[in-house]
Amino acid sequence: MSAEWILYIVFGALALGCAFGVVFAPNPVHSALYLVATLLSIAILFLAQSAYFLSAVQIIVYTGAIVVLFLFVIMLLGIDSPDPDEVDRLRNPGTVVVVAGVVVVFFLLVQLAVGFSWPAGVPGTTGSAEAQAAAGGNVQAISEVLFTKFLLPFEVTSFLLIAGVIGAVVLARRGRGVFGAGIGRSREVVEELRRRSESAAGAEEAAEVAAGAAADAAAADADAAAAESVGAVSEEER
Amino acid sequence: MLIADAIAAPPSDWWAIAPQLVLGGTAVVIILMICVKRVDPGWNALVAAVGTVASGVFAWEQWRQVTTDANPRLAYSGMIAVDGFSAFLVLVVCVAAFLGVLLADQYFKREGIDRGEYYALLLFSACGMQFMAAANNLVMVFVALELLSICLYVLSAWNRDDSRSQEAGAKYLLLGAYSSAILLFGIALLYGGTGTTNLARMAEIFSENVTREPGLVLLGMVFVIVGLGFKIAAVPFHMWTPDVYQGAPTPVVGFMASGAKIAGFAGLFRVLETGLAAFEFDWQPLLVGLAIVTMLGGSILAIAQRDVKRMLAYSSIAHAGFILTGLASGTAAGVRGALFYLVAYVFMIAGAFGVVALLARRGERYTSLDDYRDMFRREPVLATVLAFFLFAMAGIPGTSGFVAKFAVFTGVADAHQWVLLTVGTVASVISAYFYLRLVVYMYMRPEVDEGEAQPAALPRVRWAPATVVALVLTVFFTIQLGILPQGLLDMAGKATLLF
Repeated sequence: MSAEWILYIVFGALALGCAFGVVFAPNPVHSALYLVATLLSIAILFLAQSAYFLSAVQIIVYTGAIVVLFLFVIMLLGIDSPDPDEVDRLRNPGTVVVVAGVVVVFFLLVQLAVGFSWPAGVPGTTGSAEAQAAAGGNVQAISEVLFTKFLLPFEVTSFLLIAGVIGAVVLARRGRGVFGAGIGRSREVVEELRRRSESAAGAEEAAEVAAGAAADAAAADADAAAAESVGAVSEEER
Repeated sequence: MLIADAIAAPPSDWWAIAPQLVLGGTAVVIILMICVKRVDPGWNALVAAVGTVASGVFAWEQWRQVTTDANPRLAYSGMIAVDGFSAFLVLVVCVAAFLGVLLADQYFKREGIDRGEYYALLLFSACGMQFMAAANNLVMVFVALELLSICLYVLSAWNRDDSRSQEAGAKYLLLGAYSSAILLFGIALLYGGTGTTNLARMAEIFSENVTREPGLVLLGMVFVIVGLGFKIAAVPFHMWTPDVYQGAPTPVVGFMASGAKIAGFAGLFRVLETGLAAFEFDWQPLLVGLAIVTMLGGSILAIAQRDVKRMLAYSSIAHAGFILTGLASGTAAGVRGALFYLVAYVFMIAGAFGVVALLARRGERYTSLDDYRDMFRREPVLATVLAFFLFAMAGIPGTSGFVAKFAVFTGVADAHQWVLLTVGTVASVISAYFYLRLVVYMYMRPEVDEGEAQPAALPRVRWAPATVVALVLTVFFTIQLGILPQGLLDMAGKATLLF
């Protein structure tokens, strides 16, 4: 068994096990960390295939940027501590058996695969060692295919990115009244507030409503709305 | 600076990607319009409509060149094919996008969610569908599929303050991403088995009989069929369809139901007929099974639906089954029938959802079957138009739906696949039941039963010019293809000649 095979088996199993961890971990932060481990194992598998550039990019882009972004979002949304009723499923004997079973099956499959002549870099394809040598290196080989053979999909990806950005902005942005549920609701509440103040209910109740509005509406708009209502309240007080 | 060898970029073949470029370019222009000054989104819609027409003109020119000069070719180092099949489907996508733009304006104004970005995303999505129609490489298939899907996820959730629309967007995103991953896995396996992602090259490898790993190829083929099966909503992979179609804004559904199916079928046809033609005996039984379950499942489940949008969703699943039948027959006549069916289906489904969007009123409140009681007396024109589309979908002679089913079943009969033919006929009879039930509700159920609340008097539906144009076009072509189908049948026949 060559060193490549040993690397493959060890890190393949690690990637698979951690992928299960992503799914089964009750805590989203743990899931994200399992994802880091999975992606790192895959980066090492790339390394074993002498795809050095891909391996580095995998670590920089996926582990470094994307998972950190995931974590960022998870933290922003606020994670609730896991439900005490829900046992840590990774420590659940059933889960351990399932994961262990899958890893064993994986090893068996690998043994089977050794029987095959697994096409590790079909000669003449872009990933093969000859192609890399001919292009004068790993990065050169990738850039060469990217800008010749795969030029069109590479360019079409730019459409994909624009569309993604537009979609994200459209769905996430509040404001302008059109999509501004936050603003609309806050205004209603402010109206309600004014009416209550007029009926001499007192500033305290009004402040409560304003606080409710702030809790209700989304972050940015809520601040504005709360400031507005607080302004209204203080005017009333004066 | 030392540069060993400058990379020689491949020659640009602008004609090959002209329709796609025009659509994508128009989308960018719309975004720029919005950046400069937010005008009434109707102007964005106008630009989008002009863009789809221009793209259609280029596609028509491509079609003319390919069929008259018999000059099909591969472009961009085999990434896309310019042949009858691609030009035909690119043209159909233009039609679907044009109808999608026309039907959208009035609806979104009514719902108060009118924004110009809608048209940009719709055009990007259509651009992805066109790339899919032309793709000759699995990498291109995947990029095109992502382009069209990501736009559709956003469009489904467009009515952001409506929980149904949110649900539709979220479900479509999750299941769509899952199916994309399955497709990608299939592509990886196919690459592992052949060492290429180019479908034409793949076919050459198989014909040279140097398949190292038939197991990998077969597994990859199954995964690709599953991944694309999600997009066309074939039955075991249809779970998302009713929820998404019911929740998403109705004009989006009209576009999604037509466009995404065109693209999914284009990908499926191309991968199976070009790349994996050598494995026909392996994928054909799969497709036959898929077609049978899809036709029966869609038709039977539609009967249980009380919501018209949901019912139409199941009906679109059944239609996917009929189209699959044409491909599963494995004959040129069957594929021709399937292509004809796709065109007829685009007009029928866009028209039907267009009418449903109008009748649903503000907030899409009136989509239940009971809301359609006595529709003929309240909205005689719309009820008649909807009844006409329902007849067409049921396959009543004189409409495009009849010719489409006939064309598909001819192909099946040619292949002597009697089981498929029988099931298809039975399924179309079953599906006639729920189409005609809606017609009965509209025409023959004057009042509600005892003890039920009387429906409130609704304001009359107002018509915008764009909607009228769209409905007139769809009705016209549904009749025209039903009475004089030969022109399109000939076109579809030429389109089956892959390069």
